[in-house]
Amino acid sequence: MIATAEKPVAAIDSVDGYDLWSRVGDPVEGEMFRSFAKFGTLPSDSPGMAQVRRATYQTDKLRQDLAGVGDFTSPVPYPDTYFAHKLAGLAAYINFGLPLRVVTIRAAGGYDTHADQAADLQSNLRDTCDGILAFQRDLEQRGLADRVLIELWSEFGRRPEENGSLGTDHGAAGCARPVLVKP
Amino acid sequence: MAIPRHSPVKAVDEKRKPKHRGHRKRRRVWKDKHFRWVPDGHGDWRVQGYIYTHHHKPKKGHFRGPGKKPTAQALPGTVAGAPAPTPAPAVSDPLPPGAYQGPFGRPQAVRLLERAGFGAVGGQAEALVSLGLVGAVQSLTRPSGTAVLSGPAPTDDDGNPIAPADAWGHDHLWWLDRMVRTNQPLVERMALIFHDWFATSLANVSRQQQMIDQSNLFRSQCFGSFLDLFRAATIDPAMLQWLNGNENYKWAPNENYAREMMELFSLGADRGAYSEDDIREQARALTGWRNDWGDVGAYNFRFDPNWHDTGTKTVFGHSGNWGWEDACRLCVEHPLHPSFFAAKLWSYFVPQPLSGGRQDELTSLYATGWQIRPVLESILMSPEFYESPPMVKPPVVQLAGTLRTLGRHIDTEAWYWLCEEAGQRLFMPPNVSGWDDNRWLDTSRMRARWNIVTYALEGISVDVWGDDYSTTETAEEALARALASWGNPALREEHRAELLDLARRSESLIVANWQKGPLPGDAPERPRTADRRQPGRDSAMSSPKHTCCDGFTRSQLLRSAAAEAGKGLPAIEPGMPDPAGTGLSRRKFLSRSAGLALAVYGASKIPLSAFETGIAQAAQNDKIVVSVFFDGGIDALSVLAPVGDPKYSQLRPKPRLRARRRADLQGGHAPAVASRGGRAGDPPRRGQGQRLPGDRLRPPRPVALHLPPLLRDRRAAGRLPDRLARPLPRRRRR
Repeated sequence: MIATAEKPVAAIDSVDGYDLWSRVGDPVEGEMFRSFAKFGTLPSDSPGMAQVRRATYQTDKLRQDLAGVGDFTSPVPYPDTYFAHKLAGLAAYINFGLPLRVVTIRAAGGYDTHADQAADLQSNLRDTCDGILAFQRDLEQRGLADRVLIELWSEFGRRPEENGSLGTDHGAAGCARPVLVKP
Repeated sequence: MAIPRHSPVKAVDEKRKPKHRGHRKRRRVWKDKHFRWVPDGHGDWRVQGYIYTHHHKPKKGHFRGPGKKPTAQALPGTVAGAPAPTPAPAVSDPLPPGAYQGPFGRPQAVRLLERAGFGAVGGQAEALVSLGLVGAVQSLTRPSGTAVLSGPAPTDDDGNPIAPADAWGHDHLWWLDRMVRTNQPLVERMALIFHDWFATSLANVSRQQQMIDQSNLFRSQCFGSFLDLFRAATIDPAMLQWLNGNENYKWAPNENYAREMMELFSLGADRGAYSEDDIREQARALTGWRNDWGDVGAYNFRFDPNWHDTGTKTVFGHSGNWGWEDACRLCVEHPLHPSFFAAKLWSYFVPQPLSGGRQDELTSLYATGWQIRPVLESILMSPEFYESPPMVKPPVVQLAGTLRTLGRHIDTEAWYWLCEEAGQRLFMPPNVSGWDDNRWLDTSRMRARWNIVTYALEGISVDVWGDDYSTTETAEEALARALASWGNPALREEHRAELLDLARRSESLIVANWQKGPLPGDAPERPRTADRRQPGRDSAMSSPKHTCCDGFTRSQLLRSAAAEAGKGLPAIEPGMPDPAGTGLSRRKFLSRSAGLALAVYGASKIPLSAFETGIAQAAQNDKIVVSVFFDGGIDALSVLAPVGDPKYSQLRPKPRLRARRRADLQGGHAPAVASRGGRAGDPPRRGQGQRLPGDRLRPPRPVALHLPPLLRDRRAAGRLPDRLARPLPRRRRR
């Protein structure tokens, strides 16, 4: 989760759609969501209530914003991983013109490798890198590559010495890498 | 005379009775085939099939869960399926000094039941009011006997009993069911608190049963001594796997548990309570626990003195031959522990930080014997508890309260993935620091909460054509009816006004629809409204959605909306400070997000909230940063390995951990990441979709065939967690 002091953040579970279920029919459903949005604009008297209000309002807004995105197709093949699927959707979103500025996405797998590091790291890194490569190709195909900078980072580092369980323990220095592509 | 179906009973000759010695009959064995997901040891998951054997024929729908099959008999006097609270002690203690002095009426009782349970149903709030503050609190914190679960036992969508130890997600259902049906709600809340406190995830635990056992540990010790609980959690099999306590040997200590036991469980980070040296020494003290591995995962957890470091360790300045029990004791005896404990327990019940006299009071109360119950009771009787602003409920708590209110029991598997989308899959907290109680809501989780309420209302609707539905129902009546179905929650005035307005608006829409009249070919006996002024309108109405009032009522609509405004949806109880951009620790920073795409809208060039003004006004050609986050601290030396550096091979003596490939870049670094994307010097890449040299795009692989149908559907819907969504890897040889 990325947190910002003042900018609103939109979070989505899946790139395949952002739907709020409803049990009522067409003429009145819109009224129901209008009331839902209204709850989000009412004044709040406590931080907890403010949090609920804000989430409510933004949820309704995002529901309307993403209603037009629909299904997407990708001009390049993506690896068959969920991580790559998310990137494929992201490329389509950027292409659609959503006002995105910063996007965060979690790399495939986990990297807290206290044990059996070699196998975990290899497969997770492979899935991540294959996905990012396809994403980059996708952006190039759509002519969006000049607008997008991909950055890879981790929140802390690991110690150079290995531990007893074929892994490494937490350390101080970490790494961050922007992906730079030669034109 | 009818022929008897059985031959008459003959007298048995004892001497001729066949003896089975020597020619023993082979006993019949009944087999039950199951599958489950287990980690394959390479960071992925595989399906493991195994067989239960029964020596007696299992009854249809037999219970495969842990322990005894829960009884299904309902307690007399329960309301809407939710059990009555435990009867309070006849004589309650006097009001302690410093306790809440204000009136203890229904609002206070409701708050107590919401924060120390799963909400008030039926006459529960009134029952607590009659007990007074002290009696009410003690009825929750001093339950007698074991919990009684009343109402129907949980089932999956097909009506079969759930299999908490075996089927994916059923462990979540098992606990959710306990929350819904128990008569000791605070025990479940405390177990949830300690599940968050000692956050352990199924992601690195080999058997679901071990997670269930751990939660039972929390249940049984949630009011007693924290030191006992801490020790039990330290050597709990799930915890030993989760934080590598079982891979912590005297030859090479693994520091994972030693760090977290101080940072997260007992002392807190950045308080100067411990040093990195203390972590190393604690890790040595904790050495010695090991287990065996078999087809079912890890088992036979035990302390092996040969694996324990018997040297002298110095922790917090105390030297001795410390073991794991000492490691826990040293933490609890640390002068900074009581204040950590009091503040942490406080934060689950009150949204304001613990400070001042209250802090001193709770800290000294706790320090006398490290007992949990006195501190808990003091918190539940404190003025801050009743006077503080609302808190946001955790999603599972909200769902359990919703189901209790509706009188529904667990009859679908949907709850586990809906709760996962709402940010709280039980037994799978996001990381070792648990869930972030300050950040339950964002657009993704709000959507999931909305969908949960919509799902919970399935099958509970008003029959619009039924006799008991008044066709002349007014907006006010519809609202009253909708609210009654939620147990008449306390509603803010502005919410009530908006709901009433919604009822009126929808009424006018419905009336307008009625006035259009029915479609041609509709049932002729339905009354036709004469007021159709536009000729030819019938033919224009070809879509079924123009038919009158298709099965929906205002009550039904308002029921959804009332959930939103009142107790169901936006969890108005609970609530906490905003996430700020500053002062986030690394844990806080990580704790959210189910690992899915998150986007920040807006930036300096766009008006502060492009988000709020919408797409149309947003700039189209701004630069975008896509930030890919390696969760858990990636090993930089494996990403860019200094192959050939003598120091490197010295620090990484085991070949499996060392990159072998020689670097292509100058400077002696093997670029594990860069090599995936081609090498410096490759031709320019402006190809139109064809594969390029250096690209290593794999063709899409087929989904593994042994994904069970449920997961296959979820995969198709994109709702599967990363690890499960990936095709299963080929088995690698060790």
